[in-house]
Amino acid sequence: MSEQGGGARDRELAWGVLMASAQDGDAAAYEALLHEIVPALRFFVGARLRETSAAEDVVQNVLLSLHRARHTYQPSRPFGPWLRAIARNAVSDAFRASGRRAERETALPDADRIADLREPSRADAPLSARMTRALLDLPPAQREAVELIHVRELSVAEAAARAGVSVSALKVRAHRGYKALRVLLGGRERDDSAH
Amino acid sequence: MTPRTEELIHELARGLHPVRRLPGLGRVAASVVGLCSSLAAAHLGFTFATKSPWIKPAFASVDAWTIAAHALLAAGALAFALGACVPGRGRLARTGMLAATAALVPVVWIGCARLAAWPGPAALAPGWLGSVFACSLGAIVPAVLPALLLAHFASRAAPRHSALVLLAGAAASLGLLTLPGVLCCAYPDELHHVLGHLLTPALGALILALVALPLFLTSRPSQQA
Repeated sequence: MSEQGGGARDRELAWGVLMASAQDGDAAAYEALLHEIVPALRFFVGARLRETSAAEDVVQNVLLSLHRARHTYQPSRPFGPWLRAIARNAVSDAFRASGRRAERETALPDADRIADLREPSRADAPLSARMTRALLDLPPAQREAVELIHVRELSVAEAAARAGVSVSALKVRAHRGYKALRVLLGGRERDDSAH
Repeated sequence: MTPRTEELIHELARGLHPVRRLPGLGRVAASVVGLCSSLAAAHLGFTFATKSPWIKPAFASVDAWTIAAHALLAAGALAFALGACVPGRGRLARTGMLAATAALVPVVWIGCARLAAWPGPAALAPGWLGSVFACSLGAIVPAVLPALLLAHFASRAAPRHSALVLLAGAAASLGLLTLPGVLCCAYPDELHHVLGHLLTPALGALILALVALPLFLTSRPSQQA
């Protein structure tokens, strides 16, 4: 993204054209543009961040910021400086956030050993057979909501985006799913203890 | 590409709807300057129609340096406010910030020179404080319109430092709208000039930014980029 050659200029011109189409609602052009800029963004962000593990998160933040600010791009102006400004802002935000974290948190000397001992996250752990059966008994929409939030550990907003419904609709589905699960698991517990 | 980035791109592109582009910065600047010029012309016209005997002595004592300093402040603040609203226009914002800061040098210099020439409290005419308020409000009240226009633009754009952008927009509007007051103010007092005219863009910008803040917050559809 920081190249100054003719190839880079042509590429940024093409990106500008794709962005202008995206502003007019062309989803295919937008998806193509985002796919094309990700490697350049990864290079730009990676060159500035010490924590390489955070780089992908920052790249995703750049994509979200670009999406929110896509109406500010002027097709008559070059695309590169516009994109670089958004990426720079995302990198500064990441620095600020890591600075705030460093103020609040203290690294443990045996952090690696503790990490080995920690309980595996729910996303990694296999579900019990009882829970799997109960989940399978739920209506598909409720099952999806519970799985996204509690098994895959997504935020409600992310889960709603993934399910293609509004946040409140997803919360309602998840709430109904919990109630149904409670009933199903309670019933199974009673069945198990009776046998 | 990681699967999550891939999914995010797919989510962002899915259901993409057309967006209304921001107007060009040149167009916005022209609108603000045009609006300020119309308001300033109306102010001058009204003063000429109602207080024409004041105009001649006032024009004789016009401080060209104050006008130049305010014009520089207005141009710089406007460039900063517009440049800071759109990603990729950092150079414009930095140049504007530099010009607006440079304008403070003549403002301080004129202020010191005026206060050095001030004969002291004994020379204050009765009701001098009221005249200071009258002249300040004469600039602040019409400047509400261009400041709101800039706040509306900023709310649609993606400013990184919203408070600074609002303050700069208010200072730009005031910098232009203090000019008619400087041109046709008949009060000869030095302290009046400093408080009622020279410092109005700086002090009034705080008030105007607070006035524009609710509009900015309520009409803001997106977060900063």
